[in-house]
Amino acid sequence: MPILASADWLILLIYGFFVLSAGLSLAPSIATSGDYLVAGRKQPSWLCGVALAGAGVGSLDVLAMGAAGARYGVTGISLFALGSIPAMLFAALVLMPVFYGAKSAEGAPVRSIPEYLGLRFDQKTRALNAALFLAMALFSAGIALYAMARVIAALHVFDDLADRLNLPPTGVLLLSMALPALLVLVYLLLGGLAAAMYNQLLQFSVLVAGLLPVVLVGLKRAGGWSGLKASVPAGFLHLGAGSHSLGIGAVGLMLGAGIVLGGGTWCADFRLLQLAMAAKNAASARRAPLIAAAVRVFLPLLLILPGLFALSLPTPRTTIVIHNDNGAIYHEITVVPPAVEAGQGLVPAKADANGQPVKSADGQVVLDYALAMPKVLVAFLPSGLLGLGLAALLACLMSGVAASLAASNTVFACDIYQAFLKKDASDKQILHAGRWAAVGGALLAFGAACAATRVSDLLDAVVLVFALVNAPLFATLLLGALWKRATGHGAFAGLIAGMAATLLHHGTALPRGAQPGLHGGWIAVLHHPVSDLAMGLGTAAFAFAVSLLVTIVVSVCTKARSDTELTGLLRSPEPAKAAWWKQSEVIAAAIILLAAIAVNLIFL
Amino acid sequence: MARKAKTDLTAKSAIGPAANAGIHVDARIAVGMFFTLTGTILAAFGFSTRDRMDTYARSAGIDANLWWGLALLVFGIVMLAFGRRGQMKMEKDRAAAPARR
Repeated sequence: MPILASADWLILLIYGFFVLSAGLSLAPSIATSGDYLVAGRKQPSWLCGVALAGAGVGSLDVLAMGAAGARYGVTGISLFALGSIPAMLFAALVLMPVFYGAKSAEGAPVRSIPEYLGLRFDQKTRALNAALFLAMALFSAGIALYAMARVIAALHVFDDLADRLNLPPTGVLLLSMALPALLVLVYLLLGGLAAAMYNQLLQFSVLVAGLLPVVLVGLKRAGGWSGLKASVPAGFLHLGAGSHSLGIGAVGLMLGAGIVLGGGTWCADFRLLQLAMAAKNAASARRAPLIAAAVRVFLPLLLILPGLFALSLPTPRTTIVIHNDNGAIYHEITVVPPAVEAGQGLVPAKADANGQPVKSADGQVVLDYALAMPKVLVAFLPSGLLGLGLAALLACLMSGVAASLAASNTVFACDIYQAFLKKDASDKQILHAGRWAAVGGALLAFGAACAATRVSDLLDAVVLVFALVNAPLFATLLLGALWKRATGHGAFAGLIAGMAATLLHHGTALPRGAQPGLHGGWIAVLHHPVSDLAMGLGTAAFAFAVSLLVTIVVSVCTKARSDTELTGLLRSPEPAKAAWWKQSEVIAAAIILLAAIAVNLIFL
Repeated sequence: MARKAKTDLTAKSAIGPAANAGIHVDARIAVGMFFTLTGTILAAFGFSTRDRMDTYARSAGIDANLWWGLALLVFGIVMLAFGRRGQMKMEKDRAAAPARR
């Protein structure tokens, strides 16, 4: 039975058309490399803010949030809300003014984080970070493509099309990776970062429009909040109750997630920072993360509740209904694959090549939590709205890929091509380099996606790659922007040491029930974190701490740069123009923080 | 309504980059157009299928297409209005900018 009706297809196609038209309408305005790479630095704060919120749930996060809801209950909300919001506020008030205001010796504004590192520290730090960033961004873009293809395949969206084209079963997966990748590449080539941002605005609106009905219908069907409470495992609607399944106390969870994961994402990841750096002026650049944070406080309800609904429905079983029609006996058989039957609620188990459920080392069925969200969409939305819900899911995944490609073509054009390959490149040449980098990046990402179809564990490697690149970088940027004494040698050593620390921690720890390999423990298993999440937090925190320490020690031992060289590259103590309670941005930040705490307190 | 905004957009890009380089399309217009269109389609689809209980068993018997379609239509029109205003302001600023230089 095809899951999508023609009304769903119509809405999906209209969405695809609008995504392309954003590129088409912007194409005539793209004349210089600045228009293409940094959207002309002319975007209003509301666009930057919503694009930032959109990119924040882009890529894998939209699946991960539904997964967290199904796996950890509302504790997932605190991870999401309290974890990232302090980091976003810190980025807005402290770091954004530094990154946005930094200028090269010729007075040109900084276009990327590696470029900032080059000015603040030295060229080797810049090159190291640029190369690592490119590898991380393209790898995770590939994994996002693969995750998207799995969703499309699980919902049988392209099955008819693949049948008509006589493609083999693996062809469906390839088709579902190639089509979205091509769509993203075309609009990016046409409109650059601006097209990516315009589509993030569209994506974010579609996300709310597609998922809000799921939450409303879901609550109605479960019989309101109390009905939902009765139908999910005990304690799932109680904050911190799920923390024993996470293996760390609620406080540790919030601190760890907030400082390290939140900081590594919102204060160091150029895929997100590029959106605020495209703002039209410094005030807009500061306001963008604030707007994103204000929006994000309310997102968990939209993204995590559907995961809970997945658990509240009965698990599908193979059934045989016998009925008698005018003497003829009919056997109506509904066949449910074994992996789905072994699942919990609507969350299916991971299936191996024969369609049998996968079991972990201790004999437990491994659930495929990433499919919680798509399964809920199909179960709760009538045809018509289902098209919109699916568009929302695909929009998030595509915008994540777009953010990765846009950021990596900027980093390639500014920090590899212009900085090292062709120092006297003209503006036209930089523009071309950026566009070719987008094409190359899309091809590499597609390659990574193809690799992931063979080694499905690669999906779990995203956390490791994040810890490898962003956790140490957060320490470097923090010291670079706030501590005058930090030196280039210190930053370089800190980044290398942070990476080594990540690998060391990852190699010696293994979450309970996991097999050694990409999940960790490939050197020797010295300790067992309780869950994958606890493991990821531990790795990132260790890398951050080592990087911070090594940067400080090496900096103190090496020669500092003079104050005049560093003008405008550090946070300057602003002339006290007004008391803090008279600055609207500080007030806004305080309100957002209180709202985030309030959202968490509801569940205590 | 959606159609009108579209013609405005193309008229805009005709005088586009030569006059004053840079990006000058208000992002809200596309969002408004999308939701006006999908809202209308969903509401019409919901209206024509309002008696089919089997379709709406998933959404607890509510004709979710009709009601949510209408809500999206309103949202789309509001975004279009904001987008048009933003676009006009942007054009005014651009017309004024070269004169000052």
